Amino acid sequence: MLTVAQKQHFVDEGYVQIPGAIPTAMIEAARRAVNHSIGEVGMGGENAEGNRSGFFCAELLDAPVITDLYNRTPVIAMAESLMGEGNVQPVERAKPYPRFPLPPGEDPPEPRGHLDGIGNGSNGTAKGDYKRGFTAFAVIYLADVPEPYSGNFTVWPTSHRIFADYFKREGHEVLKNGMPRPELPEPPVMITGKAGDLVFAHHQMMHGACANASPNVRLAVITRLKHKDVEVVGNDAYTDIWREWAGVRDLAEAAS
Amino acid sequence: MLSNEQKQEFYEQGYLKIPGAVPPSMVDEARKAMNYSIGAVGQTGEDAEAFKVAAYCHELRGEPLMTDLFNRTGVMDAAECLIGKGKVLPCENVQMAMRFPTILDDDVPEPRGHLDGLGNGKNGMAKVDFPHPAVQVTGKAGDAVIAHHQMVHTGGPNASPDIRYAAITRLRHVDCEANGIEVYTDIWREWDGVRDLGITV
Repeated sequence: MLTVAQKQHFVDEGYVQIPGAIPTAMIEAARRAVNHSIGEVGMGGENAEGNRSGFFCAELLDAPVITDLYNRTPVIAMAESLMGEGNVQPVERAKPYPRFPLPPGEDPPEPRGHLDGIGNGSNGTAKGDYKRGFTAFAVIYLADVPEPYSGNFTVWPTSHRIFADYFKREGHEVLKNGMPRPELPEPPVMITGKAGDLVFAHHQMMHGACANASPNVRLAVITRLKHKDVEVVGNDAYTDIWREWAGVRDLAEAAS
Repeated sequence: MLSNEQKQEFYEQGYLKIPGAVPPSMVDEARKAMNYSIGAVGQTGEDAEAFKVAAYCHELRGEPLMTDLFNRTGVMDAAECLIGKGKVLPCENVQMAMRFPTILDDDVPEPRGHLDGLGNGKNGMAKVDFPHPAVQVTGKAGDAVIAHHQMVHTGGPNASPDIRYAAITRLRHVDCEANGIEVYTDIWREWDGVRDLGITV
């Protein structure tokens, strides 16, 4: 499903963007459901203080109008072309993720990223705990994001490989101390795109959502795809970063 | 300035759309403030059950960011063309009127209009037959619509994927209080700029 060039980009950079991966009708149905929820359901659930934009649309987390964006489109087949046929678990939950603008007059700060699964005591995981619990991000834009600093899904290219080398040196147990901050060679990419675009990113990519200085709400759906053996592989994937990527492992080995 | 054709259209139809009346930068800034408020402030104040749409963005109602959309743009010029030079009170209060999409599988009802200011406990009105079907006004960001106070109107149902953003104010003639309910029948009393059109028609 993905071209060799797309696979190579994923191996080298740690992410790949696939324009127009989702049919427009499904994107519009999802956007309608999300906008309905924003207005008629509003804030609710989760951690309102620590995760202000994340607690919208909680009732849609497992709604078919959202999960079908993955399970009934080419997304899973595309993921399988990276992770191996039959290796990708169906999506049971995906998070509609509105990111609202900053107040007028406030300058956006520079993007700041993180790795998932590292506890800090206020993100649902106890400080000192950590877990590598998924294989890939799959992000779908529900509305156009034409400019940076618009709440874009943001990645630090090549950070997956930088962290792999870092964990080989330091041991992944260093994560007990919190998010490590090794020097990264590449500046962040605030991914622009159109409604219906899909982004895959390796689980070990430093990532974030940049501040939104645009007039519009950034509308995206995010899920964390899991290899069928994710629980077995567990934290070994911090250093063996291509273990769950049968579709690109040969390219990764050739590049190393 | 409005053309004679635009004035005539207003006189005959009761409303007029003015494309691009508000500069994009002002529209963007207002939309940003509204979206920030939806996300960071949320539903507040008033009667959230009866006025769900109006429950958002209360803190913005008197902000220059919003009132300037009317007071410092072509909107006020257009209004004075219709109502008369110096006859329009400055806008002090704006209703941020978001209209959110209906539930995905719900049938879309036909628009059902009302006149403002008719109290029935829930701010409604008796059903009346009209000769023309409702016009669901389409447009672009920055377009303005001026409608006579006696127009039956509403926010149409939203079966689109997107939030309908609008800022609505109710402009007042300087003699609005003095004229009072007489304008229910003398509907051009406060419209110096178009009253003469009625003489020739």
